[in-house]
Amino acid sequence: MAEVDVQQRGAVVVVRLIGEVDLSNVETVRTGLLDPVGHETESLIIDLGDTRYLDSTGIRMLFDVALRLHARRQNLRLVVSDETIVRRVLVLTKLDQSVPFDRSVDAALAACE
Amino acid sequence: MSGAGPPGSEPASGRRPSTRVPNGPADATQLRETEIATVADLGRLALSGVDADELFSRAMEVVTTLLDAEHVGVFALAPDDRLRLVAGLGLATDTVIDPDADVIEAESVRRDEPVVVTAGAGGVGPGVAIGAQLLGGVAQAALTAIIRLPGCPFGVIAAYSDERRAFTDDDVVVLRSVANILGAAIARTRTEDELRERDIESRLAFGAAGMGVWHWSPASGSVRWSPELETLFGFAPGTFDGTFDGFVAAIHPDDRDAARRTVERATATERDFSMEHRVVRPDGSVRWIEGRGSPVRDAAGAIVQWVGISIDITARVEAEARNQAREIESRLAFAAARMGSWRWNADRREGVWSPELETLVGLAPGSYDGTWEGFVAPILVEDHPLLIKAVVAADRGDGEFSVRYRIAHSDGSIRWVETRGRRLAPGDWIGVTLDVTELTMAEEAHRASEAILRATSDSAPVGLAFVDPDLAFVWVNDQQAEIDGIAVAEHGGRKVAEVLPRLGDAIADNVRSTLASGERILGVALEGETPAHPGVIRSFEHSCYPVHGESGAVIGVGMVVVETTVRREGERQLADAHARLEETVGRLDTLLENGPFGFAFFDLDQAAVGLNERFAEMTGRPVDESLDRRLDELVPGLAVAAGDRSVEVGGVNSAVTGAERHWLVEQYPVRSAAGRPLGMGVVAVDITEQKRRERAALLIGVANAMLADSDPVQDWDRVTQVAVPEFADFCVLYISPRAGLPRRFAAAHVDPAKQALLIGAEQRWPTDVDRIRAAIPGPDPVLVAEVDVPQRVAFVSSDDQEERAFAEAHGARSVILVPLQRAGRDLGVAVFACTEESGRRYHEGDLDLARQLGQRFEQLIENTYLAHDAERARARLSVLAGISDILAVDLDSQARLDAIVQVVLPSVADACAIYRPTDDGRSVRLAAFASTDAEAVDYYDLDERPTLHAIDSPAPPAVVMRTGEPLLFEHMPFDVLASLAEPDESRQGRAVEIQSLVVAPLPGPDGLLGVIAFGLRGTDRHYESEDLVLAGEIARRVAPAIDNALQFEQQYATASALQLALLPERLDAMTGMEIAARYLPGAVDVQVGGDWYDAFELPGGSLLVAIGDVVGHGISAATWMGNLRTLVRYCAFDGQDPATLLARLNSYCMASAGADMATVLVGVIDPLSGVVTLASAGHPPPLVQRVDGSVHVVWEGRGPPLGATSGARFESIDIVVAAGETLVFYTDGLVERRGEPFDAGLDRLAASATVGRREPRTLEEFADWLIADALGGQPASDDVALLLLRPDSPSGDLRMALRTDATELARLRRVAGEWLRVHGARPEEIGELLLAVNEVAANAIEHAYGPGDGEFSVAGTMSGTTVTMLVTDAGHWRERPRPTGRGRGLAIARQLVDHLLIDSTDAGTTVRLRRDLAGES
Repeated sequence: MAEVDVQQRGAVVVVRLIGEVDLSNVETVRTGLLDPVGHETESLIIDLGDTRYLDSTGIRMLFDVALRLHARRQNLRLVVSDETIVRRVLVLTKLDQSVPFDRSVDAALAACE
Repeated sequence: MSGAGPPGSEPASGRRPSTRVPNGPADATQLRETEIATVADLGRLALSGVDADELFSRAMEVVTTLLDAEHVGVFALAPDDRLRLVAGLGLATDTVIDPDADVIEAESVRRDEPVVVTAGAGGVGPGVAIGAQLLGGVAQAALTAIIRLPGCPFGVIAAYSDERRAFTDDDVVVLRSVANILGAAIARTRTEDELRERDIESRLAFGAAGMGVWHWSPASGSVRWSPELETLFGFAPGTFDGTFDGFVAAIHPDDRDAARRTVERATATERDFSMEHRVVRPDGSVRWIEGRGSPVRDAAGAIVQWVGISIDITARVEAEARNQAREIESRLAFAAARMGSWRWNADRREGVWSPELETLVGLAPGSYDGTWEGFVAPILVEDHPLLIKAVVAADRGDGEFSVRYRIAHSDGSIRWVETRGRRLAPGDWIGVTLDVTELTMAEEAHRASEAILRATSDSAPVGLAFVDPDLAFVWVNDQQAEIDGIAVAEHGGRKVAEVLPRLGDAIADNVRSTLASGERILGVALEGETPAHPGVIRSFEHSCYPVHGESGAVIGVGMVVVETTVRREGERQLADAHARLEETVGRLDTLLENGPFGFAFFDLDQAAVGLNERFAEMTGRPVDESLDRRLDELVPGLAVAAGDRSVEVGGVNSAVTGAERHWLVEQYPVRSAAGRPLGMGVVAVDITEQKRRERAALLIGVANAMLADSDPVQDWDRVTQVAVPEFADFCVLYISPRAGLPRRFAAAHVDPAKQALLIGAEQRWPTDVDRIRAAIPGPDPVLVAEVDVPQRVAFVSSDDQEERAFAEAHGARSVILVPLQRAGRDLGVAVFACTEESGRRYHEGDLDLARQLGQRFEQLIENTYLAHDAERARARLSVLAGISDILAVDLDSQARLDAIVQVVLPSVADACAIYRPTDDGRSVRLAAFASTDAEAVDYYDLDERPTLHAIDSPAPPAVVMRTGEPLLFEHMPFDVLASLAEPDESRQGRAVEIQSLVVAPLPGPDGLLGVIAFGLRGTDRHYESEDLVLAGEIARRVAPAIDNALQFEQQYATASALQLALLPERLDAMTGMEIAARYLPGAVDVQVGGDWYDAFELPGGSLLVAIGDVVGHGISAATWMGNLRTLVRYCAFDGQDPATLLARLNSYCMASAGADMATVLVGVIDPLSGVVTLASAGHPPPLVQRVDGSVHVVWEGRGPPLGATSGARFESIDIVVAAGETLVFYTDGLVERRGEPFDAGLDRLAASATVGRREPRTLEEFADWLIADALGGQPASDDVALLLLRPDSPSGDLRMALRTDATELARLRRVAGEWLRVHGARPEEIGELLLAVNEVAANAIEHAYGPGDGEFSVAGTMSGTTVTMLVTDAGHWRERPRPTGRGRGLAIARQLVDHLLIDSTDAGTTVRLRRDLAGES
């Protein structure tokens, strides 16, 4: 239902989350997001541009990911398109106040420099 | 054939390849239909009269195609028995094969049967031994067939293959069929050639005989002449003006009236006529013509035209130089002048002489003084005793005398006379005196000259002369006159020496020597100058023959002078002349008694007072019985003429012997010295033989003309007419029956009324021809000159007294029976008969003409047979080909039966019926009937009333059904005919008129399928044993077709019954959902398919619909379909979603042996929300017809067909079918057409659905519309199943039952999202609402039950623009907000909807969400 596409850009890991995330697959997605992140990783960028659905468990998972990275002194950035149901639910849950949003992967990479 | 022994008896040869002589009848195998059609085409080509080369080449093409042989040859049997290649394909030309060669072509001829060889299996080897030389390749297999003509083989056709292969029995039959066609075509061509030749011959005969043919049409007055006739009349060909007047104008003026009268009388009486007349040719020459004419009538008996023959009599006379008739005529004139009559009364010593008698002795008419002295005065004194002795003897005896003596003519010559006298009363004598010297000498000399002339050429003259004892010429021929250089007439009385000054002395010496010695002098060489050619010395051989009178004395010398200037030729002529003259002279002494003259004298009362033996012979009445009888008694039809001399040709037969005689009769008056009439002298000459020859030529000419007409004879009575009346008073022809042709009877009678009587009698009492044939021991005609009464009734076959009486009254008096046969085969019998009508009798001399006419009859019959055979063969081929056509067309058994009985009409039968056993086997039922008689078809009304015959009834169909043996009734007995009548009592009076019947069994794999009956109406043809073969052949061909059709129909019925039983009888009414279903079986030529559908309600209120198609047809497909349907139900009740269900089904299919592949489409529908969850196993995509009319094709959710691969994955998708929208499930039969891509059919169906929406239709109406429109009005070629679902318009609610499983959330979002979309929610509204309901549902899943399966439901309703959604579970969950717990979910939900209410009770928890779509959230 959902796939992750991982790209290593130096110390930055870019993971694209494709499909729907709900209660049924949220643990799988969590693993998919955290596995590429090692000790040398400075920043993780999660690209939600192709994420069609993200329910509250998904948001909870993202909070969880953000907490873990924060504890390791690693940065997390989310790429979120404007005017989407995903952005709306992230704003509703105030995740945008904990994790910086970018409108594109390039913008997120630039912010990591 | 010499080598006709069994194959095993052939001398063994090590390298001999295997040789097989196919046995069994040709029809033992069944040819493929294409082969039959091809061979039939060849047959048609042959009958079209194409020339032999083209036929051969086409035949060889057929053989190469059908037999797959690379080389083909046609060999003809030469007179020396060698085979000569006449046409070849892939063969070297000019091949000749010796009759005893060890090759298959020759072997086939020796055995007189087809031969098949294949090269030995041992190795490649040299191939098989063949006589033909292949152009490339080696023959490894070969096959032959004999080409036959009637009675003899024509040759061989052979096919060769480069490959080692075994020719099959079918190949043998094909080649034999081709050979038979070639044989028939060659036979026909030969017959035509023969007829053409004969036509030319008869034309030549016409020309040579001076014979021409004319046609005269009285209506138009036009006369049509053959070129020969124009020549006859002296016209240039084509110049005759074609009118009757033109014809009359060509006739000699003296004969015109008579000719006109004859023709007028003939046209008035409408009878045949014959006449003799002269014509004056434009060059002034005069010809004698004999004309004969006969009327030609149309069917109504009216005369259409006259046809006739004219024969130039003159031509014959002149061509033969001395025609007998003309010669006799001239001699008669001579005789009349040299004959006188007398009467002597001894008592009164008074005599009377006719003037002719006075002239005869050289006295002036009237100078006889009536005294005895005067009577005997001319007689040489030494001969007086001869006369007196004869008279005295006669007076003592029978009163007749005949005496020959000499008289001294007043001109000084001595003449021989014969006097015949008869005593009328004592002392009263009457008689005639004939100058026999000149008569007989001239006659005999003439004959000799004629004979000699005939034997030699006219260019080498042979002189003939008679010289009297005074060495004076009595008579000379033209050649002698030419030698002598003076005219014939100037010889009379002149001395030899005077006429031939240089040769005369030598000739005179020879003559004198012969006169003195009575010895012949032969071949004395003479040489000298003749007056004809002064100065030319010519060589002659001179011979003298003594001529003896009755007294034995030499009365003169006949001499022959042959010019020997050309020596060798002369010698030959001389020898011939000697032989003939010797023979002639030898006969001379008896000439007077046995000569050709009949002689009689009649007094003024027309009573015969004297006649000679010859006359008596001619009349057939002894002399003494003839006296005192009138002329017309002695010679019927001939009266003593009142006037002067007249000449008549009489077709006369004696009342006594019956022998037909023809005489030339001359009458001349006998007068007294005073000119008083005394009576009539009659001289008659027998010209019977001449007449017979003329008549034979005429009849044969007419018969030949018939043969020249190449069309088969239709009117056989007209054929028999040839012999009547010239040769027979009646003529009867019995033509033997032959396959398909009945025995024929034809008759002609001189009396038309009796002809009708004769034909009527034959119909009433058919003659037993075998009895007639038994009377003919050999191949030659048999003469029964006198038929007595017992013989007449000998052929009467019955005890019928009436028939006996008829035979006695009308039978023949004299017959000739001619057996007709050709090549040893009996063709019939011809009977020529004479009756009381003419009183004639046949004799030996008539046999030749009878035989010749018989040969013409044979040829005519043979021609008719050949034409008939060709017609039969054609009909047979066309029927068999017609049957092939039927079998190719239709699988419906009744249609096939109807077509079969129709196709044999009218060539093989006038009526045809097929009977089938009834199911209980106790009767046969008429299953199909056709007839050329529309009334008969009406009579058997198969639809209204069954026509049944009990199986144990005597009706032929029942008998054949019972026995399995074919039946033949050549002529239907009435009781059998009655047994076939329709069993309805009220209709039995109208029996169908079948005169001849063949019934053949229709063999099936398990006993008889029924019987087929062929009937002929009318009497012009009937079936024979040969037709049993044809009937059997037809039956064998049609039986498998009928069987197939019946079997198919039975299987089809079973399968469709099974399928229909497996489909739901009716679909349960569902709340909020309309359903319509259709199932259409495919067209009849395709087996029942495995299409199915099902629809039923699941626990919880949703509906399962399924549709499927099992690959394959027939009963097994229908059975498997039933299995699948059950499995679907089972799995669906088990609560599986469509994709899982299909995966289970696929596993089952893969595990089941013999499972057919199948496509299945399964949908689970929530009636309230219209949400449909679909999964497809290779099935055509369903359609959704939207409210706006657009049609959506649901391509998603497709997996592989069931049974295709193990472990196949299936996917469920959700769509929403809103109120008023229609979901369309179907099988491929609705969209697939042969030769068309699937998409085209799908587009068509989509278009139909779109168009169908434009008018309001109930779902049932819409189902009918879709099927009709998508199929385009055609019957479905494959099965069609259609299932339509339409949610009710009022309801648009969402109703979902969900398991407490996180995986259900995605389905919930799909279904609810679709539902919202359909109800007009904007995408962001849909997203927010889905997020809200998903959070609530996730809560239910996580907390309602704990571990394990539970259920909850989601419902949605629209009220105006307000959406209300309820999530209900049976658990007890509480809002337990935690920082990162699920409280966040509910919090999110609350922010996304206008209103969220949690209603938790003991029974469970319901969360209600509400949002106004129109407003801002």
